[in-house]
Amino acid sequence: MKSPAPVKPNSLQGTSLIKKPRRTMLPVVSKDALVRMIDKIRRSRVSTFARRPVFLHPWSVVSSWLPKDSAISSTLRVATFDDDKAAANDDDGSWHFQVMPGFVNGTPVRISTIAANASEETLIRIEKERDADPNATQKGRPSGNDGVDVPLTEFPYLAITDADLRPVGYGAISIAGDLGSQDEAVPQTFIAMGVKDSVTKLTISLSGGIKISEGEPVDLKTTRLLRACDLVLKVERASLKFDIQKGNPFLDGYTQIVTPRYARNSKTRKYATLFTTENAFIPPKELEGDDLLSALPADEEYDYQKIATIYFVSPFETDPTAKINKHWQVVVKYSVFWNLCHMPAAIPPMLPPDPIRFITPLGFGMAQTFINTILAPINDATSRFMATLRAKRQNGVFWST
Amino acid sequence: MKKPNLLTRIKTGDNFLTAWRQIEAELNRKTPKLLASPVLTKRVTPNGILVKHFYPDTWDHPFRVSASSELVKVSAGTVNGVLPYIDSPSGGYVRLNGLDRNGKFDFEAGIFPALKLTSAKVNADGGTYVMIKVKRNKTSNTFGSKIDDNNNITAYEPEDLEIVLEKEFEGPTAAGVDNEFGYHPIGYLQWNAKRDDLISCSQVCHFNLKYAFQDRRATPAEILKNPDQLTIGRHIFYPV
Repeated sequence: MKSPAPVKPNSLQGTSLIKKPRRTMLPVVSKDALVRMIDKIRRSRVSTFARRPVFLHPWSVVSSWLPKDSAISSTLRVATFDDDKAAANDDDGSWHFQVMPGFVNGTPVRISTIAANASEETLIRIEKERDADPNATQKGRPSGNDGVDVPLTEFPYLAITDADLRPVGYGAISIAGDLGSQDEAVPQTFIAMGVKDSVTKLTISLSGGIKISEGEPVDLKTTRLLRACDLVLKVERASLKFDIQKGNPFLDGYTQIVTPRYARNSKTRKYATLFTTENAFIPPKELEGDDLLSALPADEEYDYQKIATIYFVSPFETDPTAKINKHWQVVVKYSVFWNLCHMPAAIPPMLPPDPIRFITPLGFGMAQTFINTILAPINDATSRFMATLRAKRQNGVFWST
Repeated sequence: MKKPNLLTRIKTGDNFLTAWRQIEAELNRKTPKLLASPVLTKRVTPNGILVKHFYPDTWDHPFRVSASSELVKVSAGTVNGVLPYIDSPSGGYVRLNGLDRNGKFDFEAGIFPALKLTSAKVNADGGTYVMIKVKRNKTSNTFGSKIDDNNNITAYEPEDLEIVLEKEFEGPTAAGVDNEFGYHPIGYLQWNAKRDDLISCSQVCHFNLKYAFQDRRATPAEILKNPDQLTIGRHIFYPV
């Protein structure tokens, strides 16, 4: 039998500095739980905080999670840690953007927003302009949800909500088939961040109907969701229109003469405007070949240029139906970096076509009506054909300066 | 009364994991979180979180415009390789690098390259343009009082190339009969509603420039408007 170990002499024994240990139940923690706890502490600490100066080029999008009832100032706002403290919960606020001033033909671009997202300086200016303009439809200072056009040089805010965003990757629907295709690939950067390119495919064919094929199932614990909207520049220009001169087939030898011209339905504003669109921006196509001859081509009164795509990346383990909140990450992909110039296509003025006439005294003029009736469909078709051939869209070009 | 500390709520003998979760929840509630954004990116690694803060900074590009409520300063930049003049409020024309007409720096006069800002140059939108103004030489497609055979500018006066403040800008493609002077915006100043201070100063041009005058024959309609003007042209500025 082993004898008990001898008690070592201790100078403090017997004093009040050493207390007799209490007999308590020691909690048992598994090794795995302890490793996870230590790992969590290591991951959660901030190990590096690097400051990098960046040059904000024209059209730079500066985003911030704006707590509810925040003051709007006419300066560029950079997010601070106070924003996080001010918000009581994750949804108590909204994402807002400011765009660094960009210019088209030297004129500052405007953005359509609501009065609540404009600064006090802006509202005072608009009130003064309205009061000075006798033809102004609205008077007084705008407030609340009143729509206002504010130049970017006054740093207005633009709110982005879930209604302005489209899903990209998991949760999105791609369309393919006879009626055209609509498919947006997930950029490689986001795939590396955890976004999955697993979309529901909708195939529409006129003979086979609609086929739906679900994307591969994903594990939400390792998946991040992606939503996006496009920031697009809109510049006004004259568009192609057709003047139709009606005639009497018996007397004039034509039913209608079609002449192309260039004009606007609404008054031209000198400002280019920025807007966000939920749908992926697709530049308008030029009509070609048979499409050009099938009908009189329609023309828009605007030229468009995509400025950037604003992406929202969710944290891991986010429900696909969840709304965006302050934990989502914003990434901006730019299409344009510098100020722009714009010019619509220069098209020489056109004279109206002269219809074919055959004037004859045959039958004391009675035959003239008969001849006009024969010529009328020829003149109509010629006029329509010539108008279609001569009709050029005034699509402009953008270039950086 | 002093609020009880978190640790006082945890007593000896409590379940360890329960206590740990209490501490975690309390820290999550009290600690400000790092929200990722374009100005703040974070990357979580096994060795901790890497945070990068991108703060707005200026880039010393040519023709950088900065303004107070009284003065507008423009940093040095060139058009066709020469520096524009600026009418300094301290007296006389100087080039953008501070040298006078003789190419010397007058220390005693203390002349500095800047423009005096007045609210008289504000347009209806509350803006003022800072522009390069060029007077074209009618014997060539460039500017300058003396031009050699290779179209290089050997001498130029302040009126040939200077920085000015203007209310309006017609646009880069504007062509006109009165085409002696060409303008190119380099900055835009936004005034407040009272027109007594500036809200912002934005940069329009970020690069050195080349200039050329491009003329064409006037159309019959333009000749009818002004019979003496047989050529119409426009001033073209492009970055280099």
